[in-house]
Amino acid sequence: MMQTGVIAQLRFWTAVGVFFLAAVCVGCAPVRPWEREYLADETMQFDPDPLKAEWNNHVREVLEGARGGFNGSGGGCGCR
Amino acid sequence: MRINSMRNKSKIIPLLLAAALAAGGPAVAANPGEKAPDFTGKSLGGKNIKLSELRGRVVLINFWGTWCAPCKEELPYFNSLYGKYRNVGLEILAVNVDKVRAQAAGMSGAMGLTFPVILDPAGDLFDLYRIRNMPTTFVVGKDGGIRYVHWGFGTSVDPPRYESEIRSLLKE
Amino acid sequence: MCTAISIIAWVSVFLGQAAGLEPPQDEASTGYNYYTGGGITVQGPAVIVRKQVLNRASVKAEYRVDSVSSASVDVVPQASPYKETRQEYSLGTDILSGDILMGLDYTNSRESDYVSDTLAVGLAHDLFDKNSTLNFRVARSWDQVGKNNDPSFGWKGFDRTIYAAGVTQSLTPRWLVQLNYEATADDGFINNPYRSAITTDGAFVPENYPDARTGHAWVVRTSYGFPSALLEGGLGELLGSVQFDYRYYRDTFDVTSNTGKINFQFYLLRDWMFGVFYQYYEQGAASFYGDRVSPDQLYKARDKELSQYNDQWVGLSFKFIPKEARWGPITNPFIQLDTSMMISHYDNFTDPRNGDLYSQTAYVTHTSLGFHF
Repeated sequence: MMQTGVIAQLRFWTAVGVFFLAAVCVGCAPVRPWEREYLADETMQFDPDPLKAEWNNHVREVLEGARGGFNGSGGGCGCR
Repeated sequence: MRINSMRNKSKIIPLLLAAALAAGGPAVAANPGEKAPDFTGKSLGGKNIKLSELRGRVVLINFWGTWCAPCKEELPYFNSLYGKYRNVGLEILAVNVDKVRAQAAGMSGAMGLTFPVILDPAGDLFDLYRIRNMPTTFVVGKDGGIRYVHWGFGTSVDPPRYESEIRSLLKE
Repeated sequence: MCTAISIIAWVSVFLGQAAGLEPPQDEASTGYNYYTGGGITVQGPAVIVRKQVLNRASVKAEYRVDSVSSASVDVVPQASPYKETRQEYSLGTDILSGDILMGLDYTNSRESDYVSDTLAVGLAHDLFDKNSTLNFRVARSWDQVGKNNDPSFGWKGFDRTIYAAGVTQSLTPRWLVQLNYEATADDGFINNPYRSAITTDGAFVPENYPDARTGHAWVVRTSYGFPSALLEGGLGELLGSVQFDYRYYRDTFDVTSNTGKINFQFYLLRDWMFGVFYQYYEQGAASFYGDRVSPDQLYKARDKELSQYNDQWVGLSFKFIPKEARWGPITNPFIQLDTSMMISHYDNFTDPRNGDLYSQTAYVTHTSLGFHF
């Protein structure tokens, strides 16, 4: 029962997220692949350093009652 | 009521996923088979270089930026390729998009690049060639047609490919 | 049924994509972590190595050790201070196909009274010329909870499942936004075997938690860059950025919380990055939490982590990244030091040693160095 509720929530909020994307981004591709100079910079990324991020999340999880929400990739150079 | 709305929500997701799959299809830059769009660019050294004047030579047109990690891997490789095939008809043009000229100049100097680096801070050439990924390299034949496109640079995959492509095009 | 079809579609498109691009870069880093506060000190090293194998896959190995010495206010009234070592290792692989990156991770963590195994699968899909990235992640943990010096306790099972979905969108060349949703579903033995609740009569009784807990977190994060002023008609180098995070959380224990964080990072000198952050966190108590509980209550908790609580966390970081450095195969070396202070206030948790409302100041430090190769 709990599991079904969670999966339904997940689907719903993913849909919301994707619709938000479509609504907010004009043309959906505002940044051309060669305009990612700033996004490639480390200061513009969320948690670029895995060891540091893991330690800070660990401290949070142990002291605070809330869990999760701060993982996710994206931005960056997009070069690969 | 609640159960029905949950069912509708659960149908949305597969549709959205399908739409996302369709939208995120394979990258398509300017295509093999097309004529390489002509342009005139200014190099770091101050020279004007016109692509159509390079007809009769095999030209590698590389699109890069100092902020792109794979670009920094491939430029030294292109340097060695240039040294090897320059005298038998290879030309390499490296189009750079950095906003700050000093960064492109600095990296070019540090790597000792021997081929022309063309400055395009506004990205006009990138637009012209419909670049979808950094870096992208076009291998242009002696007739000015795009023969091969490389997206990205794989240190194990790309060098052998470049070697065989350039050799076969030089023979034409 | 629809979900099954979607999954099959994903996998077939995933496998069919042309292999043109490279997976994450090869890198290695090692660090040392340190925390002290409220009578507990936790410290230890960590190391991570990531290497590309074959053409489109990369493998990652991570190892960390935490040494805990504790005389925490939670357990001090009934137990003596203790020392404990926790070891954790993690192995993972990432496979890239076209614009889709799929990751698989296994993590094992063990200490004398707790063993945890976790398996996680993640998917990241770049869309619209990489302006958007969709992220999905599912993780499942199978934990065994034990109790030192009490063989009759045995081992009790505790399972956790995490579902996460998010989208990262670049709005302009210097503005990035991320929306995340994460659900954490726990079931089994959720409370701490060493902690007791205290009744209104002053008696110490075992805590009793429901055997399931589901929490939901909704997060919005934004990163905004500051280029140097107009140069030659265009924007110049990036000076730094400001990031804002906000999280709303609520769960079936009735804990609700708000987290807000602001983080500045900028280049002081060419290869020196400096950061400063501030986080404010507040939460409401779980429905069955009480500093003193009624003896008739079915569920009882005295975990300060479930109390009405707020914290303020402020920190500085220094990172040296000589971007031009190239030592043989080594590129992008860095060394960094982060230091921060977290001040916690508890509105309905008292220190049993003196009866005052409890508060603590903790110091958190992390230092690491690493490189690409």
